Amino acid sequence: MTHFEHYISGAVFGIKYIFDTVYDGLPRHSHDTTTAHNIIVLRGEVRVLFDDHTVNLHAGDVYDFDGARAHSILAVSSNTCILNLFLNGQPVEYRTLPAQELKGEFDVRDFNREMVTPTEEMT
Amino acid sequence: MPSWNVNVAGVWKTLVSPAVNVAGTWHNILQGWVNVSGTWQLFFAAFTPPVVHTYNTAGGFTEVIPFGASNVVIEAWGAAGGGCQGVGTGCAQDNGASGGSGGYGRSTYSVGGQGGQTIVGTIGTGGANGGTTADSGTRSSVSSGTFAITTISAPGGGGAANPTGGGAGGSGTGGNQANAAGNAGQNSHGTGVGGAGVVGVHGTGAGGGNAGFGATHPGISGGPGLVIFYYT
Repeated sequence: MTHFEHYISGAVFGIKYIFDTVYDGLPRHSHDTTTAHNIIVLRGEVRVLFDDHTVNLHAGDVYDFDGARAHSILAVSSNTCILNLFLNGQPVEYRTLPAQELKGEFDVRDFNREMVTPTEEMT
Repeated sequence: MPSWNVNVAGVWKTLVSPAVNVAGTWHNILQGWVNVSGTWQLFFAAFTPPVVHTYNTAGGFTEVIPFGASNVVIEAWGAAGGGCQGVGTGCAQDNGASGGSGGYGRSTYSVGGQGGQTIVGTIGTGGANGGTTADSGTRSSVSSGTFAITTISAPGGGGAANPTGGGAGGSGTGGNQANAAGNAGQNSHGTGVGGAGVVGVHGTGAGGGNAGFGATHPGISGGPGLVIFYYT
């Protein structure tokens, strides 16, 4: 499972994700300016997969990238935690979200979207 | 449809196929117009098959059987259910649950000599879109007016309730040719498309309301019911 929780501190807004196991992660997607984010790895290792290359990140890494480029994020280790800080703060429409959208969990395999096949070296 | 009545020995008769003789050749009159205070108004229109009458606005209606028709195919679809807002934020935005489509019924009747008689009905209201819960569509029906038929009843499609898609509208009843159920919507994380409207002979019912993508985007309301009278 992937656990998520919105994080807000003053004008700083982000979403924290905890991936229980390898293969957990975030489905392929892209962002506009309201939701573009960086990635801070708090614990474990993740792989950021773009259409033409991948980037491996470890605990302590901070990664900035062009969020308009489609990408997915997969855990390389179990119990991995990342914090995605939004570059332009909390989107206005997020201020009125119901509670279940602020903290919860999902299984990335439930998403009906193109997924990246994990490679053997991730196991 | 306007009609042309003539009084024969004190009894009013409706002209079905009036004709005029021009230089020895008879021609059917297709339309008749009269000038009332400077405005031309249609007072007669010949029956030229097929004649199609369509009702797709929620609420009641009264159908008048046109003079000259010999047969009618009546089709009724229930209104569609609404779709929910999407789910997820940030990197995990996805489609919410979508609405189901309404049921369907079809009948055919001989209406020769029944011009001017009435059939009544109701068009179902489409289900409103919702946040986590959308509304179901309501039933459409067609029943006897001055012309007797077996009531056709077409249930509405179910509204979505994240994460569960709206249920299919139940099977229509009363159709003497066909009765069918609608199609269910999709659960969250599906394609977000509402259940497909049932395809009839002369039309297609409203599809269920689509879901929104992401928790900040609303779904779409379901379309209203539909009734079509197809005269030949």
